[in-house]
Amino acid sequence: MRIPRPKILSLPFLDDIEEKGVLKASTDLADDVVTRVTAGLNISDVRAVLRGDPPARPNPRLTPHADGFWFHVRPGYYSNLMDGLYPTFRLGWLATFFFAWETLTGIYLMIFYTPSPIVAYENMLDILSNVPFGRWMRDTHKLGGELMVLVVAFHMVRTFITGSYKRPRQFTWATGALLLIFTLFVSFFGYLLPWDQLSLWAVTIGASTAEATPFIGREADLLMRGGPEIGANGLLRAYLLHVIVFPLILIVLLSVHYYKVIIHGHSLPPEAEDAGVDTARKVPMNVRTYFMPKILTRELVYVAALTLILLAASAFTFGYHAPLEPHADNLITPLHTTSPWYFLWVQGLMKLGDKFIFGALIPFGIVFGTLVVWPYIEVGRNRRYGARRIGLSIAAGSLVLTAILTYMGTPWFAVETSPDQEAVAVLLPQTSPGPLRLADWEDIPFGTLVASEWEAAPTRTTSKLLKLFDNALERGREISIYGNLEGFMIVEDWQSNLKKITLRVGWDNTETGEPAEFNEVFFFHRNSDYGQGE
Amino acid sequence: MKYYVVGGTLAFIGAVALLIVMTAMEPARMESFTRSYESRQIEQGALIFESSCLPCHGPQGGGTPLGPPLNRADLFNGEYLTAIGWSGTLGDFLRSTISAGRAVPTEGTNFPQRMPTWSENFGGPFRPDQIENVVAYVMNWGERASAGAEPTEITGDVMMGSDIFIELPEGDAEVGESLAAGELGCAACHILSTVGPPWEATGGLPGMAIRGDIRIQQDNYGGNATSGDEYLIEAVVETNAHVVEGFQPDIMPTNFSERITLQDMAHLLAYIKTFE
Repeated sequence: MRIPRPKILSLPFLDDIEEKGVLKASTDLADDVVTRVTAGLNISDVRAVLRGDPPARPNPRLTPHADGFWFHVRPGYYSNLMDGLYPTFRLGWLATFFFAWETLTGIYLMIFYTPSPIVAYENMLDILSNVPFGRWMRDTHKLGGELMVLVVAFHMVRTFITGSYKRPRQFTWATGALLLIFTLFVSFFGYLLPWDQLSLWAVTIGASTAEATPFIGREADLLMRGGPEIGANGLLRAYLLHVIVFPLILIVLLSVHYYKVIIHGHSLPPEAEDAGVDTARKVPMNVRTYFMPKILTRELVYVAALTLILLAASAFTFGYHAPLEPHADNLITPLHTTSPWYFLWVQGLMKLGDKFIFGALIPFGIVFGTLVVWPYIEVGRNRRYGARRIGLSIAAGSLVLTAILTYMGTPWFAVETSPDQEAVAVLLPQTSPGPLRLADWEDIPFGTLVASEWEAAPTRTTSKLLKLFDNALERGREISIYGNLEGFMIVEDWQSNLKKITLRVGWDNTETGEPAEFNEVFFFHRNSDYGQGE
Repeated sequence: MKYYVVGGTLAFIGAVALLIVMTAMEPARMESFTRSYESRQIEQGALIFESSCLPCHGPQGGGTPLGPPLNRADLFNGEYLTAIGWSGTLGDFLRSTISAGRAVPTEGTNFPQRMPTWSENFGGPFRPDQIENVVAYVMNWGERASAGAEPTEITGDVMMGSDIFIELPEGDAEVGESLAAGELGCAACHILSTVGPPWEATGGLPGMAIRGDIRIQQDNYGGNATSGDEYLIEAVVETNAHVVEGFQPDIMPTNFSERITLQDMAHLLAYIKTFE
């Protein structure tokens, strides 16, 4: 009997080489590794997927969906009816894409950011002036966040219109509604982080609604702001909510949301099935589009195309750039401060009356609450458009109402300021660069210019500015108290490359007979170059 | 499907190409933003200067009797920093002075107040970035100040120094009285108590107006005064030149030569001469 040779090192691979030869052993090993990584596809399977060959039977491409983690949250096949853009428009996928996009760009920005009022704003300037790709990362993070809000909202509207929230997908809808709410929140708290005037005041307006919570309003407000006004504590809290708390909640909700899609299948277009019946789980063999390769390829193409679009959107001076206003200052409230655009409807509501009812109860209690539980209220099973006239009418009405309330949230609705200040703010807005800061420095000569004489202005730039100024004063001229209302622009040589520009509105107060004036000074440097993406 | 793959590949190549273009452009972009940011610092600094610095340093930094001019050449050519013994840069000096104020005045000046502290780190109102803005604005005078613009004279009063023979301007006894009672504090020892020799006529001695004439005649007189007025001036600015019998040296503060201006000395002398 042969006694086995004792081995110093026991490696199966070495045994394989002994048995099959180096080449065969190596390819077998590679095949094994690929099969493990893809959770079920060997090299020739992967090759067949890439070539677009028809799958073998039984389809090995379904194995990763059953055995692998990443693919098990995606269906192994779609119905052909769900293959095109209609009815999903890929909005859910797009929302996930933006979540990933925000995570990646967010991590890059976190490297250069410290959540402290002492350095946060300086960090922004550093990101813009000293960090390679810093401006692009910031812009695209902001743009991606706003698009994510839009995409998630559209996804919900689409789901509502096609009635996809109906049985058995009520819980999927509920997690989706929560995802929308937390998307709004994550974006909202991100607003504060640049620590400029825009962020401070937008968040201050939003946070003030917390105060309207019944019984614990003061405590909720203090807890969120970290003090009577937003300072170091408030900034740190907003940062932690933005980078940890809400993203974690989103990941949990997203996982449940995705899993529910696997469980219930993609809801088919309403007209594709009998009224009140859900056949999404039973896709006949002949109308299946397998995830691999078709859907997977498309998604990879979408990723490439969106990356290109988002790169191009902020790569150059033209294009989208995240705003950066002057350093946050709790003592100076800029004229025309608003909350973020997706909360303007709340700001509009609050102009209607009681802060608690319109600022907290209706938007966060009734609207959000109704959204989450809607499928449990409207329980009719028929998804046909004709059978859902009431529900669709309510949805359409709500959208119109949201649009109107959003308009009401803007400064153009029911915000009374004096026409003299408004006229100056047209040239020198406090929440954006505006025409004067963007004007050609060289083309503004020294001297005193009168707004109504804009046609006789010495240069094209001044003529344009004075015309704007004069038009803006028209509203004041209609008010009887402003007699002889006139605008002046006084330009002085102040320092090397620095002009002092005083915008003055003068009038005779017809009630008191006294002359009155409003002045705003702007120092204008030759190289300040507003509008290059700050 | 084929078109998708082609389109996706093109998008990928496009994205990489764009990334390469951006990489090439980044240094210029960062530099451009840095320049514009520095310019905006000057704009912001000018606004702060208008509201907080202008009352003392004057419009466009020309100086007032309350504060020295800032648009002067010697601030930017290093002379001033050498004179005060500052070893850092001008930016550092401005940053330090604006943030933490000045504890003592520059030698040879006598502005009524010291520079206050402006940084919130030193109890002032401004954040560090605002201090930086003001520094940037003041630094921006450099070009014009160094280019031979007329340096503004340092105004403010001339200090007395220790020369007792110096010619004094006209003095006003009433102003001298309020100085002695207030800012200079002479009254505490010389009028209200007898810590120092009383100015009033007491115990057979005449008033301080005449006493000088007597002192310089005395054998033990150790000072340099040749007249009664000079003796009185000497007693203020060179306190220990002659210590009156029965008193100790250094009880009278010895730094009046640095604290009192020529004009105030004249006022004080006029006041003392009323004690006959």
